[in-house]
Amino acid sequence: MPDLSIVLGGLSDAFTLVNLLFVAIGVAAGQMVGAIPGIGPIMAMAIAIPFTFAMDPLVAISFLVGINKGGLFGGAIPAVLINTPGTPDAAATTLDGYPLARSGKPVKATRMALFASVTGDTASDLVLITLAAPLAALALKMGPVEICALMVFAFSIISGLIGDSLVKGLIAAAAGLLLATVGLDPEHGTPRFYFGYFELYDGASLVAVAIGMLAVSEIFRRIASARRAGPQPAIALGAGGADQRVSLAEYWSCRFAMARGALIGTVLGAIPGIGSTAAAYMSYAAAKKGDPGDGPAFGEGNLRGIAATESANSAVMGANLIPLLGIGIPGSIGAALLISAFNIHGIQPGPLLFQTQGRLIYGLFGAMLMANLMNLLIGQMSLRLWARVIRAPESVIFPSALLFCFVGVYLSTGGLFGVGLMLVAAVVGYAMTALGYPVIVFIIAFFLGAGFESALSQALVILDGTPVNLLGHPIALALLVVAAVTVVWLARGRNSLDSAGNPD
Amino acid sequence: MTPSFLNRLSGLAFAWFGAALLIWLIPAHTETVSYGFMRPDTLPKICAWALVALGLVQAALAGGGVAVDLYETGIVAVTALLSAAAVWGMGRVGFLFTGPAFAAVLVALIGERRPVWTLAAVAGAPSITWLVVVWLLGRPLP
Repeated sequence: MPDLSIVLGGLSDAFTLVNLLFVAIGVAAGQMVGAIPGIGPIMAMAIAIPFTFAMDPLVAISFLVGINKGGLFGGAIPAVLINTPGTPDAAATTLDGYPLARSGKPVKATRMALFASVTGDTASDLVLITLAAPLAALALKMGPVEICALMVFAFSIISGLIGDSLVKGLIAAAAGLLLATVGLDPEHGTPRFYFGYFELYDGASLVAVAIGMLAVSEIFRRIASARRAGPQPAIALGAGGADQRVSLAEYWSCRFAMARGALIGTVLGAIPGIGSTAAAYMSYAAAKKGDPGDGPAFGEGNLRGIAATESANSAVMGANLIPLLGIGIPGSIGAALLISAFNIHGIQPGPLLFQTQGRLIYGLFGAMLMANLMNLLIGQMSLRLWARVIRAPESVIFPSALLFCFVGVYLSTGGLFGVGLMLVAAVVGYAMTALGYPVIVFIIAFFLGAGFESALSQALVILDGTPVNLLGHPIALALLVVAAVTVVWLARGRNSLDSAGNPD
Repeated sequence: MTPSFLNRLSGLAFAWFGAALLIWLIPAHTETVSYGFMRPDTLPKICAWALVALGLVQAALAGGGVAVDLYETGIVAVTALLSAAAVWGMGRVGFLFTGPAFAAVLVALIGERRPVWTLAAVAGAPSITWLVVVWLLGRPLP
């Protein structure tokens, strides 16, 4: 159990004025970028990370978490008003949000999305706060053999669940691991694959690779598509009124949809690799099945449809941090980006965090709960502003975002070499995405690569290089067996899906 | 080019890359060490063999979705080349000259013709960036 003084100390750090200010700025920025289709909180986080270099670690992480949480709701605004989700997570929100807006209740639809988003997110955060510390304590009991097996298990799950092809996922994981071997090897300290560039002695920069693959490649794609796409007609919010409010009775009538959504989002979010989009659609399907039928049909502006999708996709966010803080394995792009932020401040995420940085972690938990409250307040106040923001032209947004990426990576890596590396990563990321290779698997494998090599090295010494000695490590053996079974099961599942519905 | 063809092609490309690693890149860019279970080339070799094997499987099965749009790829290639030129320019003449010029070229590439929005992208974004980084954060720009 954590020391109560550490918990209280962390919470008091979270409630300082500076921290609350940056949480509020982060939430507002997240809602704004979430409202602009094509940018989203992930790109905003990627761009913002290098700028947090000058901040205190807790303020920096809280600011980034604020962006992520704000973006969870922000993505629902264009989903409701222009039938275009601001983020992929909000795609399911269009199903009932847009019909409700078209029926003359756009404010009611966006408010319901806000309330459900905050409800799901808070429930998931409470699960995170409850589970992360015991999980970390359990993880600390593991030795290098078990950690190595756990990473193999994580690779198999992530490769199999992200994207639409297990083979492509495994190729992306192998390529990410390979990139992680650039630089000094952990056992002998000899340089590898540096090609005469001494900047690569410490390995390829995670920030440059992550921003290149996640943000810059997407900006390139959006610049290309901006030439073709015409502006979407937006539904005006109109005047307020009783019909635009979400009454307590209406909120209460959605309680089961939100509870189911929060549960689905939390469970799926805790498993590395399953995104919030899947959680939102699963929750929508569950709400549709369990609907008592006392309101409009699903797909025609049912409040429970909005509540189910938004509570589920928001619940994924907090739960995503369970594997990151508990066992050091990021479960999503957002979690992977938070790793970059931790690294920038010299902090290694993982189970040891609760021992070495307990105050920071409980400060982060406090900031997450405050961010939920800010999300609610800022969302209520700024709804009309974000409704105007969705009309901002892409011709201004994307060149500006690209410049921010250049400058951010320049600051983070300390030179233009990092910016060049970012561009290479962007081109590779674009090609991988176009050809169906999951970039997130590549980045997670790249992040875990160095730790995996060290763990494998130690495991081989412990096992004396003889696989039979694994019999003395039943947990590791069980994890490896489960990993193998998972790969076979997912491969068979994919094959049956392909043969059932994919003629190509 | 059909999705199936592109899937096979990408699989073969990864297999070829894995083979190139095993034959040329790993021997040339890792040091030979004769002790220890994990040598500098152990993990790269595991990854390379995995790329060869999985690349061949991908070439054979050709599974998974592909979303290649030649028009989009062309514009992306142009944008990437312009970005590379901008990085080169920043190293030569600095951010204050290259930033606005790069933004102007991108705005023109997207096809924006409205003066206010053009000005916002060409002058506004680089100015704000410069003010935040140099003035607020106190960090130098190229």
